[in-house]
Amino acid sequence: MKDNSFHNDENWKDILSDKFDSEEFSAPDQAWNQIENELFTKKKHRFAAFLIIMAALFISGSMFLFFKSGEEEKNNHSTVYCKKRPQRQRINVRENEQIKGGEKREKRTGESEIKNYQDQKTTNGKSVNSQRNKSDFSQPINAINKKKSKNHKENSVISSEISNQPVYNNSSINLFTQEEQTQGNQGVLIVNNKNKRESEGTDSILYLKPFPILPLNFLRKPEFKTELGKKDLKTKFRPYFSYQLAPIFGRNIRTISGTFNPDSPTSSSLGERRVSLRKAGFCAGVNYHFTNQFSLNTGFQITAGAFQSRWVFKYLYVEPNTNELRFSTNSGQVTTSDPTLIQNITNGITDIYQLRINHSFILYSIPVGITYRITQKKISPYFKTGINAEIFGKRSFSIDVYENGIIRNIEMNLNRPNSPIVFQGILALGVQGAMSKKWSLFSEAGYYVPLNNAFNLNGTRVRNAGSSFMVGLNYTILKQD
Amino acid sequence: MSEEELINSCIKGSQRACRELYELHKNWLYAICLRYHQNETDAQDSLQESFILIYKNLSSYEGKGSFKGWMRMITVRCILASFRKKKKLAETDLSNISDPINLDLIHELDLEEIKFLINKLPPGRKYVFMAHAVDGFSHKEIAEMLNVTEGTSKSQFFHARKELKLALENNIVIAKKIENER
Repeated sequence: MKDNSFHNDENWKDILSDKFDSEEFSAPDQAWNQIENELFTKKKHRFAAFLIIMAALFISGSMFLFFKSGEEEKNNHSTVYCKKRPQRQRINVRENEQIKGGEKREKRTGESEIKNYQDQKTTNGKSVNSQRNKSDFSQPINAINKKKSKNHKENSVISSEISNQPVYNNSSINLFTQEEQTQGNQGVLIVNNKNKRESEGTDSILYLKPFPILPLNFLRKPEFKTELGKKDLKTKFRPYFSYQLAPIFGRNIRTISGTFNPDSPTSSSLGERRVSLRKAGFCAGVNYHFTNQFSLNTGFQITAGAFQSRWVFKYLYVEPNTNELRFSTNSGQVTTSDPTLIQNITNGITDIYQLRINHSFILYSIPVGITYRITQKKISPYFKTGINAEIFGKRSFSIDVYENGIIRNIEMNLNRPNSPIVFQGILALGVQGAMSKKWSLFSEAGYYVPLNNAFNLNGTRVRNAGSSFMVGLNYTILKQD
Repeated sequence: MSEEELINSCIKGSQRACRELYELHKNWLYAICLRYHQNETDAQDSLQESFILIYKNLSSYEGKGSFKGWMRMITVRCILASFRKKKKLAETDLSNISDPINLDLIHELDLEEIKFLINKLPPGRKYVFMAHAVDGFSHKEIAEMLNVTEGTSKSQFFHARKELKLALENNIVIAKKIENER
């Protein structure tokens, strides 16, 4: 039937439209609050979560360093200093003639000066802790010529000149040359203010900890024959720990194998066969260095990522039994019972739908591996290998449906992965550059080879590989010098 | 800030720009919502949903038509979608549509009187009438939005207009009688 009423009476429509358009009402203020909550709360939550993670890592790292430095200070109460003497100071060391059966005289320049910071301290120029010296050092000494410096009489310090006498059981040490004696008393067993000042001016200081790197007892029993040198220390390796903290960037690479045809508009396969999802996060690790070159490492990584696919066209079918839509994806099987979408599909309003995927995820990883350092130099490349256990955290999956000029977002139900833990082999290459004795900067790139399937769908399986790149800080504790 | 700059800022996620856009357009969009809905709560809900959809779809606005027209389209779609969720419009055909009905009498009434008469219509007819006559949507578009056939939309519109004409005539007759009596 011809409907004349729809095109010969535009005049009254315009009148009506103008009348309605002229009116305005004041919208209630609370409307904005709800819009704001809907639009911006999620972002705020995401940012807040990121800040919390950052803060937790920072606080735990800071606390760790704080308590460790406290322990070190405690240990330093009995620290033994080995100081390299300035060039002008010389020490003559003579081997014990009586024991060795012959006089051996060694003149060395820049020899070690041994000072027990706590025990050998003197006050106001008085003698060193004689009890201590007696018990530990002075008893074996057969003769010690004590001199008071002519130039520094006020300092009643002990100048120990040992000549042809056994010192420390089997050694004799001539502490000063004549030149030095005239200048003042500065020596191993001499502690006074001047000595302290002098020692501060020395060009290098080697701090030896009594435990565990260098046990105090070792020094207290003066068994060293010639010198307390670096050679002795270097030859004896003691295991130590180092800790790492770094931001991590990488990719979560998911590959589907089996009958998965994303290009067909009639298939229920959504997404690409292989996707490389960006992820970013933080990692904290600990290394146990059991040799100079090898170390065991483990740690914890938390990374998150968000992904949006390109638009695809699909015929959508409603499952007759469950009255829901079901898709196979790289994130497992996803379903929805969105009534509007299902009603539209049932009514056949739209034949083919324009869709795209939105997916966000959090991944927790625990890598365990072994590291091999190629060199012991300041800049040291290294290889790492091991096993990474990857666990999915919170995930969300939604599809955008373009319908009637409007993009509508539909949340999908996401099935849990069949394998809660994905194991991956680690292959990593890195380089570490020392900034100080304890701190170093490292950079590492790694690839994670999947060892098992994350999802097993009907006729398909998904494997999760990964790659990572991190640049961070490494802190070494209990490391021997 | 120009409209284009404001839109771009909203797309970038600026909360301030979104607020500004809301303040600029909230009143007339709220008026559209109140045209359709009988109560303020429903109108407020539709306003919120409309703005959320507007913000989410800002990137798809290509600047072809006026921005106000685009916002109006989304708001009406949103209102009709909410109606569709609540009630399914009965399917009818065009067999009972007869002669054209002229509503020129409408200019003799003010807006409040017109709204009063329109609000007396059954909801389905009212929504179709408003969408077609006031907001300018075609029957095809209305049919898509309400998930009905185009014939149903035309039929609903025809009956709405018929009822309105009758109400207008009665109203005017009554008004003239009152005037004469005075």
